[in-house]
Amino acid sequence: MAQGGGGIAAERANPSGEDRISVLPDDALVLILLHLDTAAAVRTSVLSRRWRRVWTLLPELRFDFSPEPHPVASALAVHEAALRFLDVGALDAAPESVAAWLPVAANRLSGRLNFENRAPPGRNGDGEEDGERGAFELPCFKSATTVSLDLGFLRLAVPAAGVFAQLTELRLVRVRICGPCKLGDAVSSPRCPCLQRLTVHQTQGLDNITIRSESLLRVDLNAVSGLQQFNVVAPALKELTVRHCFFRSRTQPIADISAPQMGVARVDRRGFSSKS
Amino acid sequence: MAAPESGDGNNGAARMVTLISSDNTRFEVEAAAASLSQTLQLTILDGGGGGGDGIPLPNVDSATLSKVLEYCIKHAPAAANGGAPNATAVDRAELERFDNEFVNIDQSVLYSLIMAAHNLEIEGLQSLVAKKVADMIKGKSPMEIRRTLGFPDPTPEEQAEMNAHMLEYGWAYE
Repeated sequence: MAQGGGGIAAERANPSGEDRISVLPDDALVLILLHLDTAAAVRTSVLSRRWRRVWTLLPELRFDFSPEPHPVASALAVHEAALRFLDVGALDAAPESVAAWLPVAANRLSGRLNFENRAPPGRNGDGEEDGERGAFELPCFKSATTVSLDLGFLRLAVPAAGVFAQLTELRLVRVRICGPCKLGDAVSSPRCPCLQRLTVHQTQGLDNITIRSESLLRVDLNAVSGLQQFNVVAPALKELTVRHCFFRSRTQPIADISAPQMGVARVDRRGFSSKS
Repeated sequence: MAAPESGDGNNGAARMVTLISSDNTRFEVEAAAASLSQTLQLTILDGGGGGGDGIPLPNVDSATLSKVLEYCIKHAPAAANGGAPNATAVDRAELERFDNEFVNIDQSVLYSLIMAAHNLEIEGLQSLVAKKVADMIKGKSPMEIRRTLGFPDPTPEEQAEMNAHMLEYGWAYE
């Protein structure tokens, strides 16, 4: 053992017995780890047997932007507790690897998910090589309240079934929706009974969005390219923003909006034919 | 403007309660300060702790309790304002200065405080002391953390276990 760490050596506890911090209850140790980033918290598991599983009780996991293979997959395989917050940053994630951990998170999460994938410049969804990359399916978040996915133009399939029972806020950014478009169905009341806020930005592959929701308060669509038809029946809707959505439409796009409570509507009317 | 020490000025004397440490020292303190403890709050709301009775705290010694109460007395006015939406920047800066100074303490005292804050459920103090330990851990290797936190040196067997564990958790070390 190295000599000369004066202050440290002076603080060293009884060399024979248990160190004093390790006798603290799990809850107190978890509070300490909550102030660390998740990787640092995980590293405390090496300290001793007492500390091995403390980090697996953390209710919040945060991962800095990381290349593949992403640590979130390994972490969720060991982590045990219910999650109230999961924050994941990825650098050019592969769809298969997201598909490996996202459903696990969906099962475990009772609060917020924030996933941001940074794609390399140029992969903006228009490139040919992107077409060869696979897609993954949006898992059903049964108890999450907020889901924010900034996918860096990964391809996402929206499932035809499954109820997002607690979801109040859904945010999709830089997503390429593939397959038959089920988004409108998925966010409508039968499958999203609590959804209050829907945000869709810089997204492709959505040509038709039809939403019937009792709960929606705010809808914000920005740069949803190729949108042909947008129908909303939302009696509680207060705020609707639709911008830069109809640039690439070859035919006259159609919007039909029924929202008697609406206070604020910011609709970019370029090429917009409203039936209402 | 109004002096900060006006707590017992206008409405007559503030209600006091007595807390008794494990070594039988009695501490008389304003009910509002003691009520920062979720554990004590219920007893105090029920009218306990007044008069000659006192609330025994068999898990907290007098040195630790004195320190805990120092925190509670300082933070009680802001807590009474419901997180003090009208607190001035000066007030907040003063509390922050107090907090920083407050946790500048010996490790053994720090651990006693963590235990007491945990048992008494004083949320602000729990977070403050937890953050202090987290700051001691940040940026250190496992061996440095062990030394900082006063772990005994690992036995060869423990060392082997640590090495194997680090291999298994390689993803956390990148």
